[in-house]
Amino acid sequence: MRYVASFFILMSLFAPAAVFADPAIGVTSAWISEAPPMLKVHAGYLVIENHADDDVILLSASSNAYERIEFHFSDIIDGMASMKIQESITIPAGTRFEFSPGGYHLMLINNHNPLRAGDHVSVSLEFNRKITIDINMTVRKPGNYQQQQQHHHHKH
Amino acid sequence: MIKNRLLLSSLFVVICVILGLSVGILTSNYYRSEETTPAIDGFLWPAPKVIPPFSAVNQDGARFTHEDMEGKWSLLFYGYTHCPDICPVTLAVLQKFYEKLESEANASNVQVIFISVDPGRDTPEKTAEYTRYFHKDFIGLTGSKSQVDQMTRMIGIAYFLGEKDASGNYLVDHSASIFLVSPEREWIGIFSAPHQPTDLLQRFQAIRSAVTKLKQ
Ligand SMILES: [Cu+2]
Repeated sequence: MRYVASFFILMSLFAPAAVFADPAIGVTSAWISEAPPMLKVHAGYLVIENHADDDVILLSASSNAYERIEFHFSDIIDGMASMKIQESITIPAGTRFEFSPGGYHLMLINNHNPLRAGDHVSVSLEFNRKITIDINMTVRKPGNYQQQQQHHHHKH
Repeated sequence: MIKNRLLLSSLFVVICVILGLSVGILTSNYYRSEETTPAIDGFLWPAPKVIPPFSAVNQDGARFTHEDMEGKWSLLFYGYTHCPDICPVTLAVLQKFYEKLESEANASNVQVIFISVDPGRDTPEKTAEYTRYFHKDFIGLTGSKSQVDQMTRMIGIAYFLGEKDASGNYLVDHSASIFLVSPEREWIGIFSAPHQPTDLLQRFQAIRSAVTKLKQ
């Protein structure tokens, strides 16, 4: 009995420790596309690298700067563009997942304060296995896909 | 013997003439067909459709009609201002395209037109703020639902308004292509996504010079 209790105490000590950055997951090229001030929905882009031997699942994202964040995919079928909500994003073991213009994006909804190019926004990414990664996203002018690819901003 | 040789050589001449003629006819046909339908991806030729009369409201709240498309090359893109991904990416491409033309002093008869398919939210003021963010010269059209429908029907494209969420936001499905209309109001080109500024510029210039040549 005492053995079991001490096991749980031990577990509760370890659980919060797991919340901090996990070396198995890397986030790079995180940025938010600047928008005209009247626009309250922004798109955010980043690359997630899963160096682990297991798949990881991105479950949710949140930020103090926005009301809420969704995961979207811009699909173009027969010339028609539509944004589709993704409940979660699975990053298979040993692969990288790219959120990029015209494809997957973080849909950042209702910013509380105006955001201009050069500003920084901190965003929390919640993964399965109780992993949370806090990232710093830079607001930049909108651009086309190729141009963004040339920049490589590493996690701060 | 001499008669035979004469017959042979005249036959030879006749064959040569026939061969020469047919080669000439074939190549002239080839060149003509090259000239009438240059291989430019997205070039709608021959028999382009003429844009029918329409009216809309521009970013200054003024009337904009089919007549405002005459005498200028128009690039049309249909979207909505609450669109954070495809629309800004496309308008940023059009911005770079237009700035390149400006730097070559070639933009005076070119207009970029953003057409909102979300008249419920996109007032002329909001459309103005949106288009000016990308370029001061860009035109932003909105209007009543029937005016917007008129502008989507003239190209034959659809749009769908999604359901409202708890905070009243909704998504809109819309065309991702850029459409080119000639100074004679002919719908002459279609550029499919994904767009790149240099590719768009090259195809636009190829179509513009082909049409100018074809109409001489
Ligand atoms: Cu989205």
